[in-house]
Amino acid sequence: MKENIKSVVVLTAICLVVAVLLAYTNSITAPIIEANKAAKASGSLLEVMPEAAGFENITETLANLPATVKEVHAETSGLGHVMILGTTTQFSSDEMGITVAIGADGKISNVLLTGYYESKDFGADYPATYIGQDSALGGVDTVAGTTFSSTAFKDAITDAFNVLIENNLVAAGQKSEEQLIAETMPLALPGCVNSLGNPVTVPVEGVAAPITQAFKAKNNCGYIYVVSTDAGSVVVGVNAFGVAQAFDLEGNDVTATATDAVAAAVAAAPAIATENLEANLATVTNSFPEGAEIVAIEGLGTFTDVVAAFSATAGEETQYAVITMPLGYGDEAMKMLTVFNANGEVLAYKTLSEMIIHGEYYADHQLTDESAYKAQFVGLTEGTYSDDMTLVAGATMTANAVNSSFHSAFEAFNLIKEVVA
Amino acid sequence: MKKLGILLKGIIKENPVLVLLLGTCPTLATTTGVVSALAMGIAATAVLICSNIVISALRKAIPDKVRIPCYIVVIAGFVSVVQMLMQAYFPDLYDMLGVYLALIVVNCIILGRAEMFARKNGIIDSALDGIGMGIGFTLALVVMGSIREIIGAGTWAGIELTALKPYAISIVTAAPGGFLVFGCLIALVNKLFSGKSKKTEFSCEGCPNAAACNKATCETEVKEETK
Repeated sequence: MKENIKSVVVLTAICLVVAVLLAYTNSITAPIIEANKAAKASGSLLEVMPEAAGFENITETLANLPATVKEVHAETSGLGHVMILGTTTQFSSDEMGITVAIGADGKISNVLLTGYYESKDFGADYPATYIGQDSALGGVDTVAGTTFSSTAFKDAITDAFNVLIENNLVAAGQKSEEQLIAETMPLALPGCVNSLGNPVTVPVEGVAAPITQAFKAKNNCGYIYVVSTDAGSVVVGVNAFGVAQAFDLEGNDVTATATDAVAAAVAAAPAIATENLEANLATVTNSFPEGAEIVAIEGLGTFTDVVAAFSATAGEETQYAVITMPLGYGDEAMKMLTVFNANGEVLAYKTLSEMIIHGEYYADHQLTDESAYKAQFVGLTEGTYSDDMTLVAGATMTANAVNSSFHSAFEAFNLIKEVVA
Repeated sequence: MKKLGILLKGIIKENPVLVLLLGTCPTLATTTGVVSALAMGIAATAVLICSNIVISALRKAIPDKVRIPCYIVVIAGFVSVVQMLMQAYFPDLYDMLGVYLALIVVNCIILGRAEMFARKNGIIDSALDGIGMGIGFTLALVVMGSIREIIGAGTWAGIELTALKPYAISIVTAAPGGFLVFGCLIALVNKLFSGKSKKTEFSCEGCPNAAACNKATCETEVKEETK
C-alpha cells in the first residue's frame, strides 16, 4: 500500500515538474513561433511588396468578396494592399494562383503568377503588362491563343480592383471611351457574346456620321453601332430582324430617349433575316408539315443569337421554327433549328452545321450517336428543359452552344406567341 | 579513464544504430539528406543527455513499478521542449524533420539508455553515456545521410556535386536505398570491429521479460561471453 502511494506521488510529482517546464518553455517560444508563422505567411506577400513594413489580413472585414479573391492583406504603413487570387474559369479546371500588389494610388505595383497549369503558356511577360495599371486596365488585353487563360487572369485582377473600390480602399481608375464602348457592346447585342463575355464581331468599314463605328456579329445575329449624340456616344444593337436597343456608356438603356441614334443605326443595318430569307426558308420547309403555309416572322425583339423565325400553319395546327447561331468551339458560329408546336413543345431539333463532337463523347454521355443526343430534346418545353441535358463531357463549348441555342429559341418562341396573341 | 571509456563506447563499440541496432525507424527516415540527419542526431542527443541526467538523479526516488511511465514522462517532456525550441529558433529544420521529431519520445535509444544505464549509474556517468551515445547516433546518421545524399542526389548538405550529379541513383534516397545502405554499414562495422563490439549490458536485470522468463541464465549474455 505504502509503495503504491509512493508510486502515485512520484509519478504525479514528475508530471507536475514536467508540466511546469513545458509551460515555461512555451511562454518563451510561443510568441517567437507565432512571429515565425506570420513571417512565413507574409513571405509571398513580401515578394510582391518588398518594401512593406508588415501586413494585416483584412479579408474577413470586407464585403462582397467574389470567389476569385481569396485573401486581402493591408500593408500596415499604408502602402497599399496585397491580394491573393485564384480562378478556375480558365481552360482547365486547375486553379490559377495570382498574388497582386495594388498601391494606395490604386495602381498595380507588382503581380505574380503563383499557379499556372495550362498546357499553353500565355507568356511570362503577360502578367508584367498589368504593372502600373489602375482599375480601368486600359493598357492590357487578352492574349490570342490563350484567350481563356488570359481572360481569366484579367477577370481575377478586375475582381480584385472591384473589392477595393467597393470597400472604399482605392479610387476607381478612369476608363477610356474605347474601353467603355467595348464593355457596352455585350449589353447592346448579347447574342454575339462568347462564353467569356466578349463580343465576337468584325468591323464594318465606311460608316457615315453620326455613326462612328460599326461591327457585324460574326454569328450573323445583328450589328452593333456606336453613334455620336449630344449626350455622348451611344452603343446601339440592331438584331437580325431590324429591331434596335441602345445603351449609353454607363450601361443605361436609352432606347426610348436616344431615338435619333436608334433610327440612324436601324437605317444603316442591313436586314439580315430578309437577306437570308430564301436560304432559311429552304432550311425550315422540310421541318414543317407538307403543304403548310410558311410565314417569316418580322420585327422580333430578341437580341440573342436568333437569326430567323418562321410560323407554319396547316389546317388547325400551327408550328414555329427558330433558327439560332450560337458561338461554339473556337468562337465558330453553329446553325441550329428548333421547331415548336403551339404549346411550346419541341417537335424537332436539328443542327444545320457540323457539331464539333466526336463519337466517344456521346458514349460518355450514355448516348449512342448524335441523333440520339438531339432526340432527347423532343417533347421538352421551357419548363421541362434542363441545362444539364446538353452537357457532353469533353465538348463543353459545343454543349454550351446547344444550351444557348435552346434558351434563345424558348425566348423567341415566347415573343412570337406574344406577337400572335 | 573509465569515464572516457563510457564516453567513447557509444561512438563505435556500442554504437546505438550500427551495433545495438536501436532507433532504426528515425535512422532510415531522416537520412535522406545530411542536414536532416544532423538535425535529428543533435535533437536526439539533447534529449538523451537531459533524460539520462534526470533519470539518473531520480533513480533512487522512482519506484520500480512506475519507472517506465516516469521515464516516458521525462523523455516526452524533454522532446516537447526540444520541439518548441526548434520550432521557435530553427523553423526550417523543424519543418524538415516533421513528425520524426515528436517520435523521439519513442526512440528506443533514449528509453534503452535510461533503462540499461542511467537507472544504474551516477549522474556524471549517465551524462557521459548520453553524450557518447548521442555522438554515436549522430555520427551514424550523418555518415548514412552523406552516403545516401551523395549517391542518391549528387549533393552533400544541399551543395551540388557537379561531377556526381549526372550519375545520381535516386533509389538510394528512397526507402529501399535506406535499407541497403543501413545493411552495408552494419556489415562494415561488424567486419571492422569483429569481436570487439559487446552488448554486455543486456542482462536479466532490467529486462522487461525477466519475471516471465524461466531460463537460469540470459541467452544474450551467454552468447556474448562465448564469442
